[in-house]
Amino acid sequence: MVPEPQDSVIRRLENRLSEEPQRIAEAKKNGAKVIGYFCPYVPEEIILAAGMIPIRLAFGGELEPATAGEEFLKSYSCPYARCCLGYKLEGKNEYFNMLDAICVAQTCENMKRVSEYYEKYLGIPVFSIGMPHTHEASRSRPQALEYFKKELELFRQRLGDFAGKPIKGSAIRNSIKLSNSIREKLRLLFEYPREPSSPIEWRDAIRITQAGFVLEHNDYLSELDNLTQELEKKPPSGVKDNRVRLMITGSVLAVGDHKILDIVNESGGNIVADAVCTGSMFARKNVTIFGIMGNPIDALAERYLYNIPCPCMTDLDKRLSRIAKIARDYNVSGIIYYNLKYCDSWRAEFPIIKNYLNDKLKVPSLLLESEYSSSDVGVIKTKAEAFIEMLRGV
Amino acid sequence: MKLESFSGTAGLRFDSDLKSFDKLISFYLNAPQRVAATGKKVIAKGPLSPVDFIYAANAVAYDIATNESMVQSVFNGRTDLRPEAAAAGMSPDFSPWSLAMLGATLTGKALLPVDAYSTASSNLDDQITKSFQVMAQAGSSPLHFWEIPFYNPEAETFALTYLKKELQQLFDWLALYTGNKVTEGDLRRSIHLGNLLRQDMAEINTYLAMPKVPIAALEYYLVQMMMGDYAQDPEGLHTHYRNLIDELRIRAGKEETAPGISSSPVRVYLMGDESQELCIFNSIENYGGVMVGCDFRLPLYYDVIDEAKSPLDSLAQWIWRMPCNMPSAKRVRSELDLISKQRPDAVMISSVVGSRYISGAERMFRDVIKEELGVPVLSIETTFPNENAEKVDYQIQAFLETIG
Ligand code: SF4
Ligand code: SF4
Repeated sequence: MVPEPQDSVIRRLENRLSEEPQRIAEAKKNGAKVIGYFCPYVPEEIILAAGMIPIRLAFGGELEPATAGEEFLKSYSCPYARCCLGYKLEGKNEYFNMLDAICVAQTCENMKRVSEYYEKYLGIPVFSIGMPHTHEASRSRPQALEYFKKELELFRQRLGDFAGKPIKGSAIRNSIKLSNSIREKLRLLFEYPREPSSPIEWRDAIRITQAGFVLEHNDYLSELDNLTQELEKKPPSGVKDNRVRLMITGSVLAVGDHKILDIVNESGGNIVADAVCTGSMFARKNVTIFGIMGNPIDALAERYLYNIPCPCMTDLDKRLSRIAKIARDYNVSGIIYYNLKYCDSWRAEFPIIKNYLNDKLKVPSLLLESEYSSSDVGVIKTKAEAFIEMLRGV
Repeated sequence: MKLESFSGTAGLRFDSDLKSFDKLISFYLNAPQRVAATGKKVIAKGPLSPVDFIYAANAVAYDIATNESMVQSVFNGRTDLRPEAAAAGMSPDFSPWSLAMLGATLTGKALLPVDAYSTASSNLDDQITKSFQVMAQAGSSPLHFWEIPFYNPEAETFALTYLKKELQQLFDWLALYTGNKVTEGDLRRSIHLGNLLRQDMAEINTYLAMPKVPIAALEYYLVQMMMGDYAQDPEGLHTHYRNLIDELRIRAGKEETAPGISSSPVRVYLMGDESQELCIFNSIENYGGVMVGCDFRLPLYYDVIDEAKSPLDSLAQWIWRMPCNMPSAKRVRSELDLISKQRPDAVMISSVVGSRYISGAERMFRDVIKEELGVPVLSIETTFPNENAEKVDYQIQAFLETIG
């Protein structure tokens, strides 16, 4: 039996989400500025410390904005990147409509182009953050971290200019405390599905995580507090779950991109873990205590540079060991490797990651490539069903 | 070896009177033998990644994507490297350049055996970086990426500090794998040689800027392509370039144009993604145009490297300002003077299906060129050789006839 979703909390969060645009609009009337960002290499602590509202623009899964984005990007660009432009062009997404500026970490090529088109055509300021791509977990390239610290310091100055007042270290320290608390709670959520009789599904955990991309952070933290208390009280279901335990990794799983998750669910799979930038990776790793006691920018640089090694970064070893560790810890039988079509960085690594997991853990992987259209549902379903049946040993 | 004898180039018009070009092509095609004879280590690099320090380490630079594709897919007409890349687990959605390189390497069919892989990461094409990772893994070969930081003038001081440290580490890595330390003297000599080639290219471009252009589009494209890795032998390439320049000077002195160019042609500047569809170069001339410039390799010769300063400082500054390292709008603006010098009547922007690099910025290029230069712009899109040759040929015809 599938455990009940955390209905009450999810319902409350969904209510809050529906009210959030109104709240932000009010805040804007009172002078607050809304800063959007895409890839989570942008420390939202700096935005919060500037008294601004950070919104992670991780929306996707819809064909219309992806098509609208073709005004600038070719149809053979990743659909998420096209959506990042398309939502703004269409004017139908309230969050995109409320942006005062965006901040873009220079990650993959598609993201770089997105920032360029915003700058030239979309009429809002763009703060670009240079990203080192060649840093390594072994810290054999200290220059990468030094550079990133300076980029973040520059971002702090420029955002301060935009806010009309310098961003104080004490304000950054406070926002680090807030964001750390949120990350801690989210990590707890993602811990539950490790156990076979988890009181919460991974799918709920990712929905809750994604709600935090837009919700006011203090309110969001209170909701997470309530949720963790509820979960602590909830006894394990004790009912055997016969679904096949899976992990998902790959391209960005955008807010609104349900296709693959629905198909896997319907095919008898149970995703219990992830390595995606909109899931548990978002909450991994706190800013160290030095961020609160010492130089906050240095500590932020450490946390954000070394957190998520997405494949536009060259540190493949760290990525492999991270994915393998999660697969092992969550005792999964298979990996769903989600590739948004034309996402080259993830796609190129599939054979390497697949072989590695097979060799090290004897865990097979399934590549599911998709765009934001319904035309490939049948093919994906057939593949997912066959994979899950194979894992069941049918 | 003559290009006309390859199956993939059959039907193309070559300038058979340009003897120095024939010799240059033979030199280019003879690379596997030439390199084997040197006994030097071969370092594969990405198309726009600079090479001067590889030669300073007494190794050979190999632009593996361009050369494997050009010789195997284009000249030999072997487009079947695509399924081979796909069979090795690669995506058929990659660009033809990446797929030919991957297909050749992963199936052991590469023309030149590679000892190690090293290329600039960051702004120079994700597909190349990822493909290098895949090829190095498959061959258990050494791999070293180095970073060119994001171009932002506000960050110049610390970005250059970062880049210099990256270069120093790269030199150490090269020393480890080649057994040759990159000394300041080696670097100076190598930069000097590279500058000679850059000056050669600038000189060849002056012939393109003339009212009567003595070199045809196809020949110029292939000449420029060799800047990608200095044809594995900078000194040899310089000699060939000088011979070509001598021949162009004679033609220019007689006010002769290359065969195929009409008497009052539409002057076309070509920019963007390097195309494998060689017929486009003939098409420009077939429909009354002349190619007066092409920026495919421009980032490698837009400027010379300052030889008066410390070579590491000069190299870092030069690399950081390479047009391909700049955000797209800045990149085009940085090229405007160079483009204007060639006095084009029109600009053609080339995108390659599967490549995200230029094709993603094509709209930006188009608008900036129109705004700043006020000339008509045609955007073309190509894939593998002969896959949409007819359509592109028709587009070029319609475009040039409208202007002409
Ligand atoms: S995987 Fe990395 S680069 Fe890609 S969208 Fe997520 S954070 Fe950005
Ligand atoms: S990493 Fe992939 S999914 Fe993310 S924006 Fe880039 S191409 Fe798209």
